[in-house]
Amino acid sequence: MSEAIHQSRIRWFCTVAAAGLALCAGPALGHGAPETGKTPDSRMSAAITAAPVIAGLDVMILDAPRPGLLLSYRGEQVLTVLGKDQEPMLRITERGVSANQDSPTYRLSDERQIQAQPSGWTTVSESGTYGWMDPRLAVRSGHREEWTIEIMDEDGGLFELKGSLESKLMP
Amino acid sequence: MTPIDLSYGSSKLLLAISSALVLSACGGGGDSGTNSNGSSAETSSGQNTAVGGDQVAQTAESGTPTGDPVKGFFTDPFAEPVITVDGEDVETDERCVTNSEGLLECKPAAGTMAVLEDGRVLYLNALEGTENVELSIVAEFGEVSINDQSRVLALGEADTPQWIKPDPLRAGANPDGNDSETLLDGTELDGALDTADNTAKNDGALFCSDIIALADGRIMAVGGTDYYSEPGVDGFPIGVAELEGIKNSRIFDGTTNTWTQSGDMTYGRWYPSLVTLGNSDVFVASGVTKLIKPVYPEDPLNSGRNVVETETYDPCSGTWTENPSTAQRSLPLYPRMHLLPNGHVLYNAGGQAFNPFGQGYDQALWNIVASYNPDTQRWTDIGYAGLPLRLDEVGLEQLSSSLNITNLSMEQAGSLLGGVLESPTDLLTAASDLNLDEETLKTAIAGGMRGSTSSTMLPVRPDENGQYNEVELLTAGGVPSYALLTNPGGYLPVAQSRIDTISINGEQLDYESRLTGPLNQPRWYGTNVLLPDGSVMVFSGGTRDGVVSPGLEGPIMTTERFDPDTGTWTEMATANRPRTYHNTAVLLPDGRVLVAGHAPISTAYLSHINLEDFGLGPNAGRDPSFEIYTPPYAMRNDRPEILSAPETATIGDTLSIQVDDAENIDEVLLIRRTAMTHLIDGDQRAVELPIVSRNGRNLRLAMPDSHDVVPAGKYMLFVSKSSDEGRVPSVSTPVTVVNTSLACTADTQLADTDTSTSDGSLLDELGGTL
Repeated sequence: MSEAIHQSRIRWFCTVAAAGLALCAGPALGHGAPETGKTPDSRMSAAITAAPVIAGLDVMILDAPRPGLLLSYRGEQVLTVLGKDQEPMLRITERGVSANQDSPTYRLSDERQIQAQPSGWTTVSESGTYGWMDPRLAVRSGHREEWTIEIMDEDGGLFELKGSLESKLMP
Repeated sequence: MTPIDLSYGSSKLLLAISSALVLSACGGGGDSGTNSNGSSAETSSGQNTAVGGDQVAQTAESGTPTGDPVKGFFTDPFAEPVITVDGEDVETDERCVTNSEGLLECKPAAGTMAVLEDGRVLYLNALEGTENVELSIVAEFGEVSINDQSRVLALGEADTPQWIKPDPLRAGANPDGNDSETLLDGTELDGALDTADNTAKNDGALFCSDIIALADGRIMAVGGTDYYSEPGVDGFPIGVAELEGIKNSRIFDGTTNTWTQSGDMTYGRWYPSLVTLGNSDVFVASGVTKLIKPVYPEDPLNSGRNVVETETYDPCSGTWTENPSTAQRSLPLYPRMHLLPNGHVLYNAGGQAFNPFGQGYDQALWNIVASYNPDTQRWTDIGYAGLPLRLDEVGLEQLSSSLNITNLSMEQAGSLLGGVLESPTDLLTAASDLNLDEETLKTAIAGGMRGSTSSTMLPVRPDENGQYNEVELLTAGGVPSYALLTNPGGYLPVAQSRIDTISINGEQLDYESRLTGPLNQPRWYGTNVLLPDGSVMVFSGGTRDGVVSPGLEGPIMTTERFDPDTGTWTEMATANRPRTYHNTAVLLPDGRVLVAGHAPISTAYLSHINLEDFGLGPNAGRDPSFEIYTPPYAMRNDRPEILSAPETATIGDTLSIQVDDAENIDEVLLIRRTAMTHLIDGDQRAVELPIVSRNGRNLRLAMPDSHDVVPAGKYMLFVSKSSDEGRVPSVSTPVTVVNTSLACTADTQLADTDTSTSDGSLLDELGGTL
């Protein structure tokens, strides 16, 4: 075997090995959430099945590998989105949205908040529109699931935003 | 005809194709230069610069253009005639020449371009060194890559091109190596599993920086690339390449053709976006610190996603300041951002993304149009990109076509949709009424984040009170988020075209969209250029996403023109050279367009396999050539002429200019000189200056009263008139907009803004004052 062919085979072997390494290391470490260990073969699809009837309030799903929620309010009240433990999580008016950094649910919605020190309410949008990654839409059992988020008006009335989560295969 | 390179046998080609989608999951970042067996691909016959230039000039002077007078025409391509090899300048038509070490030295391609004050063009290479990848760009790029070269191109008499090499040629960042963010950085094992410290030749590449023109006209490149392998072993060209964003900012001074270092950012950024604020500070957002493996042991919460922190640059002190946590936001790479007339920075839900499976846990938020207020240093969510959607006839036709509504008449569809989708609730209702699911309708309205396309600000015009309260942004083609898939998710681009309108009422922003007529064919990575007649042209690009599957994108060489009056796209002239990834285009001061670039990622992330004969993109290497596109208006012999104009202006001024055809001039545009890369120019803008009075040949123009509308910097002033064949603009005259409040330019002498003369007749003057 000539030296050139030998070198060529070594290079070829190394490249295949490196490509294999890239296959493993790239998707595992480079993309998706840090804990993602492999390329996903499915995604979580969220849908709204029952929207609260509050004048001026609109809600929609933000599609992505992990879905988010977008809420827009053009009304005169102060609405409060409750967290998983019924704690006040978001306070919404037509002119702005504040988040309760003491809310465990809010802290789970923003990974930056997990290790941060709680510091009360903070403005997160200077309009009545706000999008967030609600942890209640992050369940990954692989089966169809239901989720509910409660919204309270100024009078203490509770309204339910209901939806579903479903695993769908990637095309 | 370029031969197909199968030098490694058919197994390589099979591996290339079968690996394309999978390897793409490792991210983008690589690219190639020439074919792998060391032979250089040839450029076109138009490489001889003198020939190309002469042909253009003769055509223009004769008045008999060789191109289609309706569609415009391209010059022959021309490229730098020499390559420096082993210290010697070698004149060659080839793209590359092999040096004494057996490595290829290649001409740089314009993956980034900036139009300087004097009309010359600064350009930066992209992906330098990929020509020396032998097998796999993923495995080898960390080692073979080289800091990118820069050039200045001057088009002289009869378009005769000349090239100047700036000093330092590669802009000089990190001469002692970059303190790379490797996994073992700072430990005793630093360097054991990576090659970050083995050489400084590729620790400060200009590639993947963003550039911006400062208020004084100097060009600043921010961020860039530090290449290495991790894992990797010194001395072996194998491993897994890492592309780390760097912290540097570097400034090019066109008066000396030199680069100097400015302040460093706190965060290394690869693919960041810059926007000049109204006070002449520069805002930077996004970018990623490590593209392939964004894992930061000391900062686990920011691992796996782009840089959410934003920073602001003070051009007088040359320093960056990190903005508070309220200014953080998760954005795609190279986010499409614009300065609004109220001083806010708008994120228009567009950008670059590299993986079908996402780059961050919160990338769903990339679908939201949002604005950043520099005063409060907070973001405001505006809404889902594409909603509310107001449908006119053109938009309704496009929507019906997208939905393939065959059992409904246009009237029925229009009635069902009510002419407007105001909100998500309307979207749900309309989807139900049309017997569609919400996801399908969401896709059809072209909503959500759009990748790999331009976001172009149409001319900003004053209202009846002289205030600039509305901005329109054109987004056409690109890769939509596809609600059905992931974000960015799409592999096939779309033809959909949308205009988003931002209406400003003090601090409040209102937003709505409308569909325009579609592109004539779907286009990935087209570069938009706003012309001085108010239209927008799109150049270059491909039929598929060249990052997801490099080398399999078919080049699109036919240009298209968007007419804002009709809301439709029309095919125009066809370019000579295919230009897919890293193509560029800039408006020249005379109203023509300089088209360049093309530095694709190596086919299937391996090395250069040219599949051009199969109708796919030419991945034989980057293309160093330029072409000049001449629009139909630039062939006319009745273009208006600006006879005199002030060299400088500031907000609130009234400018007096002289033109040769004053009575027919009905529009004046102040267009900022382009500084663009990767489809983005955060400062792209054209501002209409109202004509407040006429006097003979003299026109008096009102400048806006805020730098939020017209940030300080270098502009081109065009006047135009209407005609039966469309609007006819002049050649521009340079105007510098001065911010007298900026400490480091406060002493700048403002020129006399009144250049009017009394050479009009007495009747002219009387008529103009009555």
